[in-house]
Amino acid sequence: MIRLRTKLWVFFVCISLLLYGVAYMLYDNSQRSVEEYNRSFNRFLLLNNVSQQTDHVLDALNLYMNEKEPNHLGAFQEKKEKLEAFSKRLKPEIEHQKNALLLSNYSNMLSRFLRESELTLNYVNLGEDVRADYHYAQAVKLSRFILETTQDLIDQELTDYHPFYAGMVQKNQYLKSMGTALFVSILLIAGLFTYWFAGGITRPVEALVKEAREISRGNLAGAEIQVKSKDEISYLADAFNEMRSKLQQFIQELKEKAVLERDLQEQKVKNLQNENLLREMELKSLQNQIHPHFLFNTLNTISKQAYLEGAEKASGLIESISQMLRYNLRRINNPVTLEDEVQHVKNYFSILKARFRDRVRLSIDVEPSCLSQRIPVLTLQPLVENAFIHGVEGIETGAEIGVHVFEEGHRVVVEVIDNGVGMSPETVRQLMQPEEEGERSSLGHSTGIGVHNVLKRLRLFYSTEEVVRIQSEQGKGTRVQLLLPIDREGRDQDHVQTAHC
Amino acid sequence: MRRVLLISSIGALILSLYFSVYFAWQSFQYGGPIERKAAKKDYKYHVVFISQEKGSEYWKQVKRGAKDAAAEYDVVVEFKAPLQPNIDEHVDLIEMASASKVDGIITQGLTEEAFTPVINQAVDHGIQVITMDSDVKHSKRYAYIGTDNYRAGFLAGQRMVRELGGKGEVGVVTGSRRANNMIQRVEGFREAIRQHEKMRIVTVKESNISLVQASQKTKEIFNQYPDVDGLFGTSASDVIGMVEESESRGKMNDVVIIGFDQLPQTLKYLKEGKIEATITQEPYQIGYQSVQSMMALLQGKPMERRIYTPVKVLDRENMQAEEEDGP
Repeated sequence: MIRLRTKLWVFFVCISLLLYGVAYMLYDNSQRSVEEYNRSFNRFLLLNNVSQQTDHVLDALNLYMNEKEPNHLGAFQEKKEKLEAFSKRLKPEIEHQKNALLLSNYSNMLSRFLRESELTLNYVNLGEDVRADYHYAQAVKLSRFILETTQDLIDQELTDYHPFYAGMVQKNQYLKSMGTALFVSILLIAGLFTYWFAGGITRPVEALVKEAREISRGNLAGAEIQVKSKDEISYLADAFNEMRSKLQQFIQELKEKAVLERDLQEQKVKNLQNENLLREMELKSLQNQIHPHFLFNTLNTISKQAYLEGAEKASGLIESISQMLRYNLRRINNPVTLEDEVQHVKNYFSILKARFRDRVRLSIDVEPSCLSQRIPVLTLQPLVENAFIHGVEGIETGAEIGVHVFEEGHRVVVEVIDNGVGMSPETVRQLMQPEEEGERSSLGHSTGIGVHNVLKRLRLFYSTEEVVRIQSEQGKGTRVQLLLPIDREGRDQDHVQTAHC
Repeated sequence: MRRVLLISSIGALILSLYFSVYFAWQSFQYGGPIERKAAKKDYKYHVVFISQEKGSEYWKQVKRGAKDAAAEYDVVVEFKAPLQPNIDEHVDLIEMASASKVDGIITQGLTEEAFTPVINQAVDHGIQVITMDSDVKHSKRYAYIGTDNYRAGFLAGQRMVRELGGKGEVGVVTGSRRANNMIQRVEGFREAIRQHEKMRIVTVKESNISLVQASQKTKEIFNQYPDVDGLFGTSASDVIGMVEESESRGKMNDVVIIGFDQLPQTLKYLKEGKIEATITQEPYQIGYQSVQSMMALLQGKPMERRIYTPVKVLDRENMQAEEEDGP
């Protein structure tokens, strides 16, 4: 990972190196020029010194000739030595190919000059003034030549210096141009680097912001953020992407859990409904149980009394009603077997027979294998009662109600048939619809339990919607079939229990 | 838009970097140290060649001859001349050469009184001296190489006599009254004229080998001697001044002009018939042979002490013949 700071450092170091390099180049360049200039200048200085010193020597010589004082002699000697020193420097410092000839002439002239001035001095000391004057004149002439030659040498130096100077001017011109170009380059480098560097940060950050906004709106399905650079930003983007995918996963899990919980809740609501229905039934039963034990005991007493008085039929009738009451008073939460239900219907039938005699014919036909089928309590009797009340009560003669229980495939069918007035398709549809509230139709029932209540309880008990089939034709009769899934377990248990008994 | 800006700034960056490098490279090409090659003494002898001037065609040819000769020997020849023809400066140059302890001096010997002492002094200091073009016979110079000026003047005189039919007045303009070569030319001319009784030299004027002065002096001659029949100029530029002045006076057909040397202008005038003849020297030979002789002298080889280079009278006829023969 190349960190942002590293990038900045590298850029800074590169630019610094470039600038230092250029600065050093310029410094070195000017240093060289100054050195060259110094050398050149020293040459001019030396030549000038030689020519001036020649004059000084002559002056000192002249002074000594006129005044002949020892201190003048000392001055002359000192100046002469100085000139000799200068002239020794000439060859190493000034000589080159172009001026070699002129310089050798120059040196020879200088040595001739020194020789002539010494000769002058000698003759002055010897007192030979004529000869001294002659040699002095020679020395003067030579000093003139030296001056002229000095001029020539300086001219030569200047001629040599000229291309150097022109070169320097040209060089400076180019350096100036280079400086300008370099300035522009560095400006552009800095600009481009900034663009690249800032772009490398802001573009991914903008993308992050956009995605973050999407997430805050609840949209987790955005594409992954791609960051090409390998710096902190890419690390951030990776972390962001990971965070989002985790979040997505988490929410998915949450959703699944919610579905499960909703199912659970539905289950609970179902159970509650079931309980409510049972309560309702219980309440209805309780309403009907006005002093049930008193009634029950009284009925038993009446039955015994009737039997003792020889009214056996009345006694049987009372016996039936008493059994019905007992059945109704039992715990209603526990399911019963089909056999119990059939027995209950038989009791109900015997009462109906006593009431209506030949007006209604009742028949029960049950396959014995179906008797152990578990079924909610008070299921069959309300249906039969319903057939009686709505189907055949109004018919004067020939009314029939039949109960058939048989196995059909994997379920037990409980069939209640009447040949009464029948039902309109509207009524059939109302009965079939599980959600429809049909409490009113329970009025008139002995137990107060209507067909709707029965059907609902069946649906809850067997956990299936398809529990009833109704065929009806107006004026011809109605056939209600309860479709009960075979409860093998219950039946087996019953068999075992039966075996034990 | 942003993309265009980006691409163009990258382009600009490449361009400016290229220019930076280019200018840096260029700046390195300049301002190097002053070129000073170490001196190496690749010659054995150092000779100074001093002439009265060096700008004229005549002296250029002399110099060329000297250079060609120098190239054949182990010698370096320094050419020196006063800026203007000047006896004092010329003498100074000889003295300077002498003070510079050169091996040999080749110089004109223009006047006896000025040149003899410095030539003698140089010889006394052990420097070999040869005169050329103009001689100082009585100095200690070892040899003379150049025109026999007396004879050249004499040839001019003879020609003048022939042109004028042995009768007439002649004016002379000489480069210098002090310079030996000029003096000798005038003397030779005078000698040739003297042999004819009806010929007379009316005046000798000095032009100081300058064109302007040559015109001036010719004017003076025409003013003083309106009947002059012939004009003789002893130095190269004299004849040109003479023609210019004669043309402006309309006297071109009345005077016979004889000149000296073969400047291109002189040859042109000769072709046009404005001048009758010119005395030609061999400047290249003078230069060449003087260096050759100096080398023989320095190397101790046998040599002649007087070499006269050829002199010719050039007129229209033999000039055409020469042109036909080729250069």
